[in-house]
Amino acid sequence: MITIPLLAADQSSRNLLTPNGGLTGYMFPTNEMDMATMGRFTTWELAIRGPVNVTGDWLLKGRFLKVLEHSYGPQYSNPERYGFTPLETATYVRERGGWGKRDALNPSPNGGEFQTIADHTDGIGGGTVHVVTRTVENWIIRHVADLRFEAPQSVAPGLKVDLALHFHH
Amino acid sequence: VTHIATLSGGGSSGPLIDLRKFDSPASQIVQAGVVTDYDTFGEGLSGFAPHFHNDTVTCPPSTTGRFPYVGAGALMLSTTEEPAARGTEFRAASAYKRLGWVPGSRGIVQLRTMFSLSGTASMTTFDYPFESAWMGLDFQAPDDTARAFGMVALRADPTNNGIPAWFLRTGRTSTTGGWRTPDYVKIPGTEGWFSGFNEGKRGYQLARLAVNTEAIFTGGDYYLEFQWADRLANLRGLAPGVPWDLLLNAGSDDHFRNGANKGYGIAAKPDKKARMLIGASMTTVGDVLR
Repeated sequence: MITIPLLAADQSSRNLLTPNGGLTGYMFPTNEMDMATMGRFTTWELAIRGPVNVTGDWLLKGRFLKVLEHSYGPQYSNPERYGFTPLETATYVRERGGWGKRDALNPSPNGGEFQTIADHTDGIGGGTVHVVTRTVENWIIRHVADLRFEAPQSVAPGLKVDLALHFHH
Repeated sequence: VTHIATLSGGGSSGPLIDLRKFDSPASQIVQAGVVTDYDTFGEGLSGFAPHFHNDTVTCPPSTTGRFPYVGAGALMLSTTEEPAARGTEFRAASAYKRLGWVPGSRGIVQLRTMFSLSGTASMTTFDYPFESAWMGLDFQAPDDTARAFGMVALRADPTNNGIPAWFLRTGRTSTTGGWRTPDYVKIPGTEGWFSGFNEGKRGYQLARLAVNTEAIFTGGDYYLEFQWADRLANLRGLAPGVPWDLLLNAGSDDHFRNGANKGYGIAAKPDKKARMLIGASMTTVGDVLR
């Protein structure tokens, strides 16, 4: 069991999620990590603390992508990313769904499409934190979460989050 | 010469190869000390941790089972896969391990490493994807009076068409001064002392850095010797004084008193990917000059 922090809300000026990804990028982890060597399972923990410099609407959406290493032969491998298939989501994601908000009793099938994780209707911020976890069985050597924050009516907005990976058996 | 005890290992770490056996016969240093840690990454990060409060935060280390040197795994440092326009805060990856200041830490300390480099490769030119690939030893005295953070870094050599050579981090920093960009001095004759990227094979290469922490107490040369593969470079006199002697946050709980770390890191050029694998890493204290 090991926890790897990726984003820390208290480092907010540098760790904010932004619409253009300029600070943090979109893909997490941003670099190559061999997750399947780190543990049988990867648990994603995302704590949404709240928007910064936001007026009006905002949303955070996300999707899972698997990383295939062998698009250019086994040597100079240029990784390609594809969405989890609905079957992979149902088989390898313990929550049996993607990143989207949903009733736990009615998991939504997800084939790697973006789903809304949280938005301005959820009352997040001002001490109200929304925590989302997803646990993926590492059937493939690595995968990424593609997280996109949008706030179309705001100037220089950001979203304060904690993001960590827990690798375990 | 002190007898080298056979290292024992086992489990998922697989067979251990005592990296001290690769010390050059021409070395100015005689093995007389003890191994303070030896990592082959068969299971877990072996105590290596990312720096969370600097710009390596989103390029954390991991283990990889694909390219071990011995046993089942290696430590992997990899840079961002995002395009240069995104994630601009995060370009480099590094990890450090706390060694602890032990009897023998005052004196000759050696870091021996089997590492490999890979990443975006040019088929027609020398344009390696990394700006710097480094390994270092960082010590601050238990009495909090002095510090030295020395490192050897493989960096593009502007006098040699950008083909990498090894550099020493040098320069003194006032103990009351703040952060500044490090200076580097080339280790003469080290042009091309690195493994090629052929087909991404990630060939392992041996590097050994010997420093003398006595220099932070009584002066003298901190950098002693560097070995790559079967090549040997004498570092004495190249970087006078103690490199990077900035006392970290002295006068607060956050000072680096009694600190003793080893570390590795790699920084990529924009829009390129670079990886550094550490297959084996060994630190010794208490060796002596011949």
